[in-house]
Amino acid sequence: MTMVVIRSKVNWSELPPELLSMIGKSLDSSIDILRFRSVCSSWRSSTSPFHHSTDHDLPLPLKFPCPFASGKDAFVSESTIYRLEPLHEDDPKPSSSTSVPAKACLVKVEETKSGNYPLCIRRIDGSASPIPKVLSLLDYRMVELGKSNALNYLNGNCSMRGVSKVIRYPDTASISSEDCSIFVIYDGGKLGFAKYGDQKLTLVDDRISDYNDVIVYRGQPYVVDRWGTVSWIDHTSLKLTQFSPTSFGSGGRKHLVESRGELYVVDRYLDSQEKKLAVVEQISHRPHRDFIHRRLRRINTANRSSLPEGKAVDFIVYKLDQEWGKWVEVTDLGSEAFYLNEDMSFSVSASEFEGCKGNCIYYKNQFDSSLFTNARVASVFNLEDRSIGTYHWPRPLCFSNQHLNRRLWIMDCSIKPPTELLTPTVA
Amino acid sequence: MASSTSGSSSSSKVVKIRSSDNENFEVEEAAAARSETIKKLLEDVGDDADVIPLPNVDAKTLVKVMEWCKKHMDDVDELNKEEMKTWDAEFVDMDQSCLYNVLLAANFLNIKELLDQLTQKVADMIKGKSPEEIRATFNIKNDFTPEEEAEIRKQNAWAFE
Repeated sequence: MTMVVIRSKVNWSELPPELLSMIGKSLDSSIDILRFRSVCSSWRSSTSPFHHSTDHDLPLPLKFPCPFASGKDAFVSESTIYRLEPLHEDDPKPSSSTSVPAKACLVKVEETKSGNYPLCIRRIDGSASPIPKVLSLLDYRMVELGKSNALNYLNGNCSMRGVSKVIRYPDTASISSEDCSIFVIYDGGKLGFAKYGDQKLTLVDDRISDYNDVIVYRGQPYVVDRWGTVSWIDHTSLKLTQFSPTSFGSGGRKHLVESRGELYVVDRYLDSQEKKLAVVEQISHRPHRDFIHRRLRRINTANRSSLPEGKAVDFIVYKLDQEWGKWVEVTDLGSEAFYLNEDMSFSVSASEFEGCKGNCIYYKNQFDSSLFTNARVASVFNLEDRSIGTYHWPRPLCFSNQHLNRRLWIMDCSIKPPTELLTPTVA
Repeated sequence: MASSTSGSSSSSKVVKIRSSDNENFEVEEAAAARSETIKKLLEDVGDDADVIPLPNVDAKTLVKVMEWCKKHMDDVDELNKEEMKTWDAEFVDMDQSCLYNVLLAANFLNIKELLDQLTQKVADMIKGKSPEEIRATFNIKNDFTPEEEAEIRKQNAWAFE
């Protein structure tokens, strides 16, 4: 460690408490704060255990009006996806309780209301690695991949129905609740907005009702409709500024994905569309692709009421060309893999996860199912040959932490699927 | 040193400041006044001010801080926001002892915006790391008692359900 020599001049444990407290407040997650407090005694005493216990930080739960006229209040909850990475991956240590999972894996950390959630996850039979009774996060690096929000009723276990996506804006943790707002996409495709303290949600651009996805990208909210028109939203005037010059893509469902600081639109083509397309083709005999897309658009328009359903048959990926302000089709994602979920989409570097393939899109056909559920069969679209295959997710393992009041789901791909899916090995 | 640039308008006033190691600097008042501490001192002494001593900041650190103040002298319009963000990101990307000293100086000189940027930078260096890695990064000794250590272990443990 040659770097230590240079560093030894300054003593970070002797920073004035007010500066340490400011640093603590700039951390986004309760896990980071817990880790900050686990470094040394001066750091520990500078920061209170939770963001939310100090007066001007976000109180939990954050209350907003219900998107539906029920008179009930809605509460915004937040989940974070991380890459969990063991610190001593190369250690020849035999599998002790702390070395599982031994490889990098995906985890989701969510807020819990204590004693109020169903316990449905149990030990996997035939798993290759033993499941630790206790997981110490001190032995892991946790790299944040993305955040998702949901609306809940105060005493409800699951997120509110009728809402397909929720984002909190701004998406930073250390802001006061008065500055918070939410954007909500209803199942019908309308976009709603509410500031903290509002009595009800306001619809953004009432005439449009086919919004597919909303995301905070570089600190700014962006929305995409089914036609691929991407706009950024001015949260004070609620005015939309169209970002892409013309709409594109006649797929049935658009997803916004941030990958390595760039904004992507993924256009999902559905078999339900294809059937309609076949009808169109019969009528018009061998039409040109553009023509089909125009016809499809008209067919889709007739079915504006809800999100389209059906199996994905193709994907087209577009990337925003910042310099020219236009969208260009991307045929190669390189080592990146996209994960499309209803509540959030994110991108990972495939080399960092065992069993993950680059230049692929992982997704599920049911729009309402998220990655971390028991429905373990997912699909994978390979951009290289445009093939679609099935992918068996490991069953997520659930851990909980009373101190943080958080639940953690692990998708450990090195824990093998049940025996019937394994190919026989030589004993 | 900091006053050597000629691009500024002729009407801008220049103030003199002195570092802890007795180096004198001439800085445009608008830049120096980004520091609430200097601004207050200037108001207190009025126009008779000769040199304002800054006993807590050494020359090397002061140069760095004034570089930031000069860049942030005028209000930024929307167009230059992105460019400024890039400049700021490059500015805070400094070696650790420098970061530490500029952080202390920004605190003493009371420059809120710079302080926010620096603490955010430190937070970004912490994010995702385990306590052990944070200690290694910032060269900090683990000084917890065995009791505290046990408490920390407990708080960082997640039970399988």
